[in-house]
Amino acid sequence: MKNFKSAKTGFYTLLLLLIGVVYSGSLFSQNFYEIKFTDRAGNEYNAFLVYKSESDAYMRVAFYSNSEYRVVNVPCEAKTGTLDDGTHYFVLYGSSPTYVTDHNRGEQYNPDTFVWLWGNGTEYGLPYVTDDPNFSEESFKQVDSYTDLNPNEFTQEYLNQYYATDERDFLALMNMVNDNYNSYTNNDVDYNNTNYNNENTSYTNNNNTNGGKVTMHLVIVANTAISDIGASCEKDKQRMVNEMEAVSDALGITMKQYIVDGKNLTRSNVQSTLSGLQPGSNDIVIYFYTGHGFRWSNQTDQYSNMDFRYNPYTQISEQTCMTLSEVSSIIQSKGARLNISLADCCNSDVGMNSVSSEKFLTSKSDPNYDEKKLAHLFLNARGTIVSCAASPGEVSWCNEDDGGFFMFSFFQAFHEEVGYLSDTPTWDDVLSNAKKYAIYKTTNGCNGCTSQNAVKSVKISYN
Amino acid sequence: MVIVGTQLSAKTLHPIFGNECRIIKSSCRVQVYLIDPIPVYAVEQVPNEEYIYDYKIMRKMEFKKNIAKVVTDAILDTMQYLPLVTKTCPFMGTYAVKYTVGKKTVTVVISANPCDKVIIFCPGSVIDKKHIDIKDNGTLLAAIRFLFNPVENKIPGTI
Repeated sequence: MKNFKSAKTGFYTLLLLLIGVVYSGSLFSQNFYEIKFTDRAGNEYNAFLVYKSESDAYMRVAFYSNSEYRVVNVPCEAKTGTLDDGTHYFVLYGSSPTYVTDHNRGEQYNPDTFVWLWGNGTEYGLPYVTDDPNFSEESFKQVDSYTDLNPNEFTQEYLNQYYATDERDFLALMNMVNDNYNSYTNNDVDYNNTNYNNENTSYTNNNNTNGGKVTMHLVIVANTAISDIGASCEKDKQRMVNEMEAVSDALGITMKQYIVDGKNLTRSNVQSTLSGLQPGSNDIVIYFYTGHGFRWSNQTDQYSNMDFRYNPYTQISEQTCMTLSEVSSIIQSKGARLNISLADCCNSDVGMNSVSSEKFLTSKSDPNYDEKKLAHLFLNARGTIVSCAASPGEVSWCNEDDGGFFMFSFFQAFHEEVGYLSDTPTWDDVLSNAKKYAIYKTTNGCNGCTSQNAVKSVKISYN
Repeated sequence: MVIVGTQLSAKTLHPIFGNECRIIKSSCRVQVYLIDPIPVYAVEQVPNEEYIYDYKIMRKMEFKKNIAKVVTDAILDTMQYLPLVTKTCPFMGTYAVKYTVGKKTVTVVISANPCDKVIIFCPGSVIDKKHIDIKDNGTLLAAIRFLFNPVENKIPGTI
């Protein structure tokens, strides 16, 4: 057995964190993991972890109890943060286990808690596990293995270790395996075709304008040159580009990027970029802003003002900012089918009236999305979405590793919604869950964060 | 897996100010400034006005080390800082605090509520121009307000 105490001198600090308030950062996207561990009596356990977000994960734990095969379902929550000595931790708490298999009367399973620890610039190693609800130091034991699973390699036999064949998630995972198999056998769906019925679904794109083609116009405005949050904004920008490239590739639609960043960030450049948009009536326009935000003391619009100053020496004025509402109005006037305007920035009072003169694991593009669900969100949806990261008076939060918490949460929610384990996706669910996950990240300690509650308007109909 | 004992040398350093912590601790006199929110380029600065790191000084006070202790304690209190996360609101200069030992200075420029942040200036040091967020409603701003107006403000931590 590995000695947990020797691995972490600040154990008691961690213990307090396990019991009490913890900082929730981010850090997985919807993914699948396998953890093998052994208890002190030598009993072996295999766990299959399905991780969607910090507040939405579950584990299937398989083991033998007196030669009887058992599987329990354990809902999980994750918290992450940093101890005073700089050691980072990621804790996965199990709770309320239920048996999936038959079990004897009175047979109980103590939910497990897993703890990963790592230092700056070092890789995390195998986690520690305990089923002691008091987290006694002696109870922690290093697991035997921890594996990031490739869903393309799932087999029915593998999944049947953890699921009954008629379970909803089993069927969803097998659909994912089959779809991935089909994609390898050149059975892709061409979403630019006016009819792309796939299997038993009937997502039909009947809008033949723009030659039957769909183009995604991705406008990214990022304050990558500002000294305090520029690195975080760069992270957001790259994530947005990567995610939307993956989406457009998966759907087979054209993507056009319009990026205003660095020292090109000015109101006039943003305006001219928006003015230059010429989407077709079946196109998608996505506007994404990452940078500073604020609201005037006398502002009534609930959405943030986006601060387009990359240089702190520039006076703040109406000539250096624009509200998300204004951007959304401009975009809507272009007549695209689907308009999405998102801003990851603060919405707190700047203290001035408007003046008229003026690692654990980082998020990744999840390849495991269900293309039919992607099509439902991007090709069958019509209308307008506007959302900013914080309510009036609130600040929003970011860090250099994960970027903006709102944007990170948005993609967690998005991955969850287009994953195989979800129901029919809706943009309202994506934005609602993004808001929920951002609240979770900022209210569970967060070393001083204050809660950020996103503002959203989702007016979408689906074909 | 986990790094053990590698932080020993780092533990002797202040997590925010590093070695320059000694300037803050040793400075006999402490200047505290009320400043304009937006800095002004040097070429645009008005000759008869005073500036600190390009922020126009609206009011200036100087304190002996013992009087300024309430601010110094708050500045050195690591619990006041949020080194891992950042608010996405614009920095609006409000106060500055300057410590001097010989030719070395540490100046902390502070953006007050609702966008509580600091920029640390220490020419020639690794912490020069370091941006870091501070806690909302922390003791640093309360301590500075106390120095500016001890009648209407209380020393942080007192009732």
